[in-house]
Amino acid sequence: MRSAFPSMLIRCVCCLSTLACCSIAVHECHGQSISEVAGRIDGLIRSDLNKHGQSLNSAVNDAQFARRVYLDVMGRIPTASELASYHNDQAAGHRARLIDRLLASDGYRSQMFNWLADMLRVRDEYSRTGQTYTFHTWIKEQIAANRPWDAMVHDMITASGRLGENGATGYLLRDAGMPLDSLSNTLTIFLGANVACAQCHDHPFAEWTQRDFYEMAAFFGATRFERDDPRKPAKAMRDEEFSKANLVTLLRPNMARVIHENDRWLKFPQDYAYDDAQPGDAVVPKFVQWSDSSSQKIRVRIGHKDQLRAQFADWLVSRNNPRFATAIANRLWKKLFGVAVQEPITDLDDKAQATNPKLLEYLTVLMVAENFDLRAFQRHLLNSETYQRQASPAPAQGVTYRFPGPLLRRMTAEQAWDSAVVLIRGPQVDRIQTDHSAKMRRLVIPGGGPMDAKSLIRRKDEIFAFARTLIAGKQEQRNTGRGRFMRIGKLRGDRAWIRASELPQPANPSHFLRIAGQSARDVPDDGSTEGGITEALAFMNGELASRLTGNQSLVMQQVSQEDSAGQRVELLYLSFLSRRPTAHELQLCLNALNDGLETADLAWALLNTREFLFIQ
Amino acid sequence: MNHPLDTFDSQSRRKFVERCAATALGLSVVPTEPLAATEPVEKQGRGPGFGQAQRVIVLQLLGGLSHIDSFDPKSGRSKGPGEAIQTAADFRMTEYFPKTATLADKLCVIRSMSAEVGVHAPAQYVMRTAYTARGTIRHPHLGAWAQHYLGSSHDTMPSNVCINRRSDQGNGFFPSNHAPLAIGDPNDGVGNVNPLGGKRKLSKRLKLLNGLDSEFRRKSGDKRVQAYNGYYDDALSLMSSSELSAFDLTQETRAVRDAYGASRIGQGCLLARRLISSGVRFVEVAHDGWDFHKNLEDDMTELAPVFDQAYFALLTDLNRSGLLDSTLVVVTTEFGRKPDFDGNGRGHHPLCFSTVLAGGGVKPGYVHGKSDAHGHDVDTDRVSVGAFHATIGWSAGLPIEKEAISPSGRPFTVGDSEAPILNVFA
Repeated sequence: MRSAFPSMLIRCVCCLSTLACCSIAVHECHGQSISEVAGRIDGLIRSDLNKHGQSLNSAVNDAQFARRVYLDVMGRIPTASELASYHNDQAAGHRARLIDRLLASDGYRSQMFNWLADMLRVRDEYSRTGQTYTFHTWIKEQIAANRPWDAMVHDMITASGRLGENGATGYLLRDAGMPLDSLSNTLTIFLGANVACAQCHDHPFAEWTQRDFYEMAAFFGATRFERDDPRKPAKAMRDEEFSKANLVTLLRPNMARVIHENDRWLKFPQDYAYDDAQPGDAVVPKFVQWSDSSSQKIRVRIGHKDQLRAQFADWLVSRNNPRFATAIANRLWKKLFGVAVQEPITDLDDKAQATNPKLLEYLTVLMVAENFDLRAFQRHLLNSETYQRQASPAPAQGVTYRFPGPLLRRMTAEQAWDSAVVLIRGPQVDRIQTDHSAKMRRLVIPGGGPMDAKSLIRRKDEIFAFARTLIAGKQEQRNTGRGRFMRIGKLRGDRAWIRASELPQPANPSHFLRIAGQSARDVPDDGSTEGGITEALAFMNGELASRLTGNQSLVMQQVSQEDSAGQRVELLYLSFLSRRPTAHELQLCLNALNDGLETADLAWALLNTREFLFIQ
Repeated sequence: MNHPLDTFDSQSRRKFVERCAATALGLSVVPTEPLAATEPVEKQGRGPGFGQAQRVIVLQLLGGLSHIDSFDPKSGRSKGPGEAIQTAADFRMTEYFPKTATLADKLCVIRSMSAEVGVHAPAQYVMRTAYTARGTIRHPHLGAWAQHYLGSSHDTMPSNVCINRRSDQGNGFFPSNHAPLAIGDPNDGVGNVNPLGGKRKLSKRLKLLNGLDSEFRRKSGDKRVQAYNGYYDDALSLMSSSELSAFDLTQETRAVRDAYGASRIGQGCLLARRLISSGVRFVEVAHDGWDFHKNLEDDMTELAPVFDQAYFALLTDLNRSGLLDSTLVVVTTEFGRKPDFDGNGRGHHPLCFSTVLAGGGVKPGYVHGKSDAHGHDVDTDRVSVGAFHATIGWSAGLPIEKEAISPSGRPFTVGDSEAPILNVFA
């Protein structure tokens, strides 16, 4: 039984040294123009559609295209004036130019952060571990610099040091103290490997053995990332000068750390039920053995314990590990088309299950050819004809979707919020950034040294001396409360109307974002677009609707400056739905205005339309 | 002049809102779910406990409650930091739940739960639906099953509510109006129930909205777009409900609120009690944070009293008001924790764990099933998650043997065709 290996993995192996066995080679799409790549994608989709007697949907018009691409790339709808300037550009290639402009925008950073934050379970605070602002900032910087995905993931897997000084440690620290869960998440997110069961027993479906799983986990066996409780040393150190709460704040970004410990070693669990190892035996790290005889065995340099994690990261993100590229390519496709080429995105064990295996293979090669440049990869998809076709309704359950265009999608919670916010405050809101990482960085105890509870208690004098340097300011001297070392102000007034990426992560449970489906960030990829009664209530009666249709709202101010009722209706339509009203709609609005309703009521009605909420 | 909405009694107001919603939101496109059951369920001759629970409250301890450190204490090498204590019944619990221990004579503890999945999200899915998540199918939670077989539980209140958590497609493959209404924070209640711009404008606004959006809805042909018609109708219906104040915890005295504890689980239990007293049939209350890999002792000392207080207050209240006989209160968790205790914490352990029932016709002060000496495996009377669901379904009077066919044409039942544990019923 234990010699069985996942069919998918065997196929990976034959591709491990080169991608030569794939029918499409990397060099084939390397250096190809955007239109050539888009043509290739369209061709693969067309032939699949033809084979099943289907064809592409009709093309979207410029207004529909603009709204869709703004939402997908900027994460929000276009304003009326952004739309006007797009419509003014009628020269050939205007859609490609818009795509380029949006990919380079501030909004792109916000949009991608939301997407990654859902995948990586980004929270303002990890329980026990403390605040994680350095991790947020690190992610945003990677996006802004368009850091390749393989480099980003490699950094997260190999990051060492204190969270206060190295934001990338925030990835492993998310599962601090739970190395098995951490590995399970890592393999699932980055490789689409369905390993959940193998943590406790041999996987019943995917044929991962529990031993395979432990051998993989052993690459992290000498890595210490625990949930060290700063309350213990804080309690021992506190005195009349610094309270326990003060010290907890100070110690957290120092104690939350990922470090190498040479004498650590992962062991088989006490209830290990198979006869190929004894409970309590040290596990020797080994890459899941894809037993195909032609496979090139990857040697693990076990002697270099301090490099085990790096070896794992090298293997994980290798250009020759097509599964790594497939997983991210498949995810990005889903982001733009509403459904992945292979679902679920967390189980790619059998690539034959993809709805269009050739397309998935091509996207994999494209991702590698583009050197994991997420922006370049998305540019190709956005420029495809397939993307620029009318959206389809969700297929009936069990019916394969073959991409005659993108799926009709409901906005994500973040897209809905950010669209409202840009209507309320205008496009400059894209530039407003929240960055609390410096507040964590300044708490990093200089000189390093061991950061375990005992050592910290021993270093009390030194730490107190450092603490005094932090409260040189008058306000901090007066303030002896919780916010003494780190003050994160509540967002009030206009400051609360900023983009979702700049708000607390995740928003509080009663916030519009959460009601509309923002992930609680406990589980990867947990954002929801399901909708519900409370969401309908929020859209009809909530603060967002009130603010958006009120006098302080920028769009309402702009509308009020228009000369005629007809012009006011038109501007509302352009602002909310990115199009002009039809003659019938204009008449309905004018009638309503004559029947005692005001422009605020029109805005309310437009906000509550399905047309506003769904991405055509 | 009074607005018509204010001058009607609850029943006719409901009718008015329905009519208003029908014209405004295009109900002609999607018929509302009938208030009555799809088919009457035969209660006669079923056996003990069937249909005794008219309402169900499920407390979900997310993260994996350690059975050994709660309802199934062990001596020897599995023993945790907490001591076993005597209770009001002839079984023991750990000292972390002293208040609950005084109510043990109301509880029916199942010590022989057994599941397969040891990872939080998929295990929580199984515990909520009795099915393993596979492919694109979404399985209904118990509240949706109940609504499917028994119809809506009230004319203006939702049949299903979940507190401290999202709906997460609780309706499964049933229509979206079977999904629970989600309350993120019990202190905030349902929120946003007063019409913006006043009641006066509401119907005009709705009429306009309907007119402006009808073309899009018609063209889209998408079931998720259509589902929003239902959400808006139900939202409008709720806005006019005479029972709306059930969502408002400020209606309770300070003393009552304090008795449940200021925590989200405490106030969540109080809200659950108010809701099931006002026509809601099925309420889930989630309590996060039971994943004690490290610092089990500290974490238990911190979290257990919070739950202990809330659970105690809920059972005491229901018992005092006489509702406990006809209300099933369930404590679940996605899995137990490993017997190996390294002095710090315990890993995930789906093979053997405990759940608790109370009220709804179950035997009080009773333990069903037994784990082995270490709490590693089930010794006698294994209860699968499916059988556990079938048992709750039995108590709630659902025809558990009956198949419902999903839109993809596959048959499903309450509890995945498992038999209910009739032994737990008095």
